[in-house]
Amino acid sequence: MNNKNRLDRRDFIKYLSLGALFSTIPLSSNVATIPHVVVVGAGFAGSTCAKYLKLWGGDSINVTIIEPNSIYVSPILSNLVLNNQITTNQLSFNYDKHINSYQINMIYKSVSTIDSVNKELVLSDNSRVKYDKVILAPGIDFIKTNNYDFTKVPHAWIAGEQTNILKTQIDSMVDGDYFVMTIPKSPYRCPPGPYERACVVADYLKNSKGFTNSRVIVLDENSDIIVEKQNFQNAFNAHGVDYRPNCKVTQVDDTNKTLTYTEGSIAGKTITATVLNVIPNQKAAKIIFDTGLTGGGNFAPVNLLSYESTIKSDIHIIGDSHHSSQPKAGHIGNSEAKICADAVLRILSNNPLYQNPKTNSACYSPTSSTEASWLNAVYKYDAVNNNMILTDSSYYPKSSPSSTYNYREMFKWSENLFADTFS
Amino acid sequence: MLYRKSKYLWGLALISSFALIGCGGGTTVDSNPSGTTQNITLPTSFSVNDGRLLAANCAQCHGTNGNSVNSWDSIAGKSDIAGEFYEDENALMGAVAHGFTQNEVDNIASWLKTLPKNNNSNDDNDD
Repeated sequence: MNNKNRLDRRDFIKYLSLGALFSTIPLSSNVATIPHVVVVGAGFAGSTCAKYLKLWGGDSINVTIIEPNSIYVSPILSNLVLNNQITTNQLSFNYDKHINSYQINMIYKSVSTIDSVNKELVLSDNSRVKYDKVILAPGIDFIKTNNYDFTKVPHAWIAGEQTNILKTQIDSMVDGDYFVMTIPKSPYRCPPGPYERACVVADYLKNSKGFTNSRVIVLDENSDIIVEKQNFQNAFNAHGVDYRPNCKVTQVDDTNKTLTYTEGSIAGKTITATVLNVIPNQKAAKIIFDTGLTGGGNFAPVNLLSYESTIKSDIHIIGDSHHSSQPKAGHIGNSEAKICADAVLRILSNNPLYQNPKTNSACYSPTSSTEASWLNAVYKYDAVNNNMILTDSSYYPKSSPSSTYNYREMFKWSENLFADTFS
Repeated sequence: MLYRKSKYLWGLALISSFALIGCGGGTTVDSNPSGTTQNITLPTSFSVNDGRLLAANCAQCHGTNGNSVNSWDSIAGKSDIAGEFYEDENALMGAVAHGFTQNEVDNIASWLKTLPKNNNSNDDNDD
């Protein structure tokens, strides 16, 4: 490395240490010659983006991640916690490699507000961090029907504590108890995920616990199974899942474990279960709304060549909070993150954006403790509509039926995906 | 082929050891995510590379810079990727390949062949 970069990096580290003493970390093009890129949120999209910014940008940029949690629990494969195949510990990742290998600064706090005029982030402790570019990867937020307790009626759609709460509730069931889960209106995080969960839980209750009188009932706000229809229909039939489309939850009673819902045109229907797993409808995370980045919708519109907000400059949004035709999921979040990282590096080095980005979504879905299916699609940029669309809508989405072979392959897929994201 | 149907590895290398080694070309990362040795050099500056960006679509299944952490094939250093890309017997690889043009595959191959292979990476094509 040359002397200039070495000095800049030393200055950078010095400033970071000073940041603990002063309220504003003085990182910006005004202070150092190296641009400062801040990534907010370190799930699949954020972790990948930060890593690839340094992998490709190296000494040309400084990268900071702001993330409240020191451990991330992957939602991918987390349904396998419910049926005792793995634990949340096996899905837990820290950021040691981001810090030590990729020289990324970690700040374990949350962002309260974004001052887009002065290009500063205000953190939960009122400290401030300057940025030249900020990349928001904050995931999802829920649209609750009413105020109820997530520890009594878990969503388990953000993995970790919620996953284990739902697992404990399922394990408390006795033969004859009902498990009722709801599927949110699309778009939501991980399109196959709820159907996968219904299959896994039904298989677990029937074939592992030996229950013959329990029922798994699925209330789907969508009018039909939205992905891998044949795969999940087959699994529902095999495991005895009672699937009901066009069912919109209107009220959750966490004391009596009763749902009120509308089925088709019939309002006011109720159902009570030992375990209620309501997966609420979803929207962009709070910071997206607070910063005025949604343009009136539930997700943030972006330029899909760079993922830069179409509303505010130098703010990029990747992953589940952005608006496009791409699914909201970890694998494609990883893919979007690389397009964004490359675009940010091109912008900062005064290079034109790549005009033909491709992203891919792949997802294995366990349908029992021994079988899994998969789903794949490849997306291309549509310049006319500023969208990412299927490269071949007559071919994609492509899926594979459930099999024991796919179940084994699923772990190889996840290992490499996890490593590409967190290692 | 790009994937292998061979031994099954479970046991995520979630917290593996890394060491930083300074060198003239930037910073070399000696990582050990699952028993393999991976050398990643952080560059001193950014340079545009369309093939590298397209090839990043391979990394979710074949590892960062084409070095898989398990028995799925590593593709770093491969010069023949264009020839086998569309003909892989693995159904998922076939599905992904459908979404890329020959020109894109050539770009990907041009980038992959420049990448160093891990010591223990799995890149054989005989199954």
